[in-house]
Amino acid sequence: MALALPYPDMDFVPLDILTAAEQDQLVANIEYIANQFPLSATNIANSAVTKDKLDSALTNISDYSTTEKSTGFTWIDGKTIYKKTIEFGVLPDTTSKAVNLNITNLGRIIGSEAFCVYPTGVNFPIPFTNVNDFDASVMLNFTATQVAITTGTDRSGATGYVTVFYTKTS
Amino acid sequence: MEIILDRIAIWKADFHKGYTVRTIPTHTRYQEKGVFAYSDKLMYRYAKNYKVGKTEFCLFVRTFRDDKNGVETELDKVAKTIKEDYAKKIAMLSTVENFEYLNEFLKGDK
Repeated sequence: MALALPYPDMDFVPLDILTAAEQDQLVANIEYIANQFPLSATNIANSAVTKDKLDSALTNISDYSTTEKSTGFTWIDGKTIYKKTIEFGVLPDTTSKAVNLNITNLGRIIGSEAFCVYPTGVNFPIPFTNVNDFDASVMLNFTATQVAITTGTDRSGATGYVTVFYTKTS
Repeated sequence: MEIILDRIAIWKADFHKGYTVRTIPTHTRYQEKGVFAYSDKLMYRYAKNYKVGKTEFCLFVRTFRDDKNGVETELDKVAKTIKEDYAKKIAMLSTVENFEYLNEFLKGDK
């Protein structure tokens, strides 16, 4: 965008003392530039971006929570991606266990992060595979309303957490 | 920074396109050979934009000399010694108050 400043030929270098008239010209140039970029979807007002607002936005994007959060990202269909962490509780003993997602208007699940932790501090991601002992593996899957974990051995000593990333229908 | 008499400075390219002169009123504080003084006659500020490679920069100097053409010749000579990387650095760092003095003085005043 070419700018046609009202005073394009201002002659100024550092330490110059500007006359009152020249200072007026400088202000006119600044006002002109400001007026070329009115507020819109892509231009924001002076002082509109405050530290509090930035902190709030970043917290929303980066924090994990058991309540629904917008990630600030969108899926390939343009829909907003949300995330929510499910406190799964203890894992099952050689069986399956399902926990409700409690997500309203769930559109599409696009990913998940899950892990479990033992009181001793041992933890591992879910799903978990063990090449030496297949029964030690832990399976993770979702239905439209629930997240399910299946274990091939007793994992009841471990507590699980599942963060699900999804879009919504509305 | 202070006005250092006859010392050539470099800054980002100024608005103007040509070679400009500005008179500076008397009683202006300046430094000459490390000593501060107040001018008792008109001082002149000469400035000219140059280009090295694709990068523009401005050389300027404040002096009591009123021979516009002579000062321009000396600025032109110094401009030819400016490397593009240095000019790029100056362009990035320049603000209304931030510029750099070169180790170059107008002839006869070193």
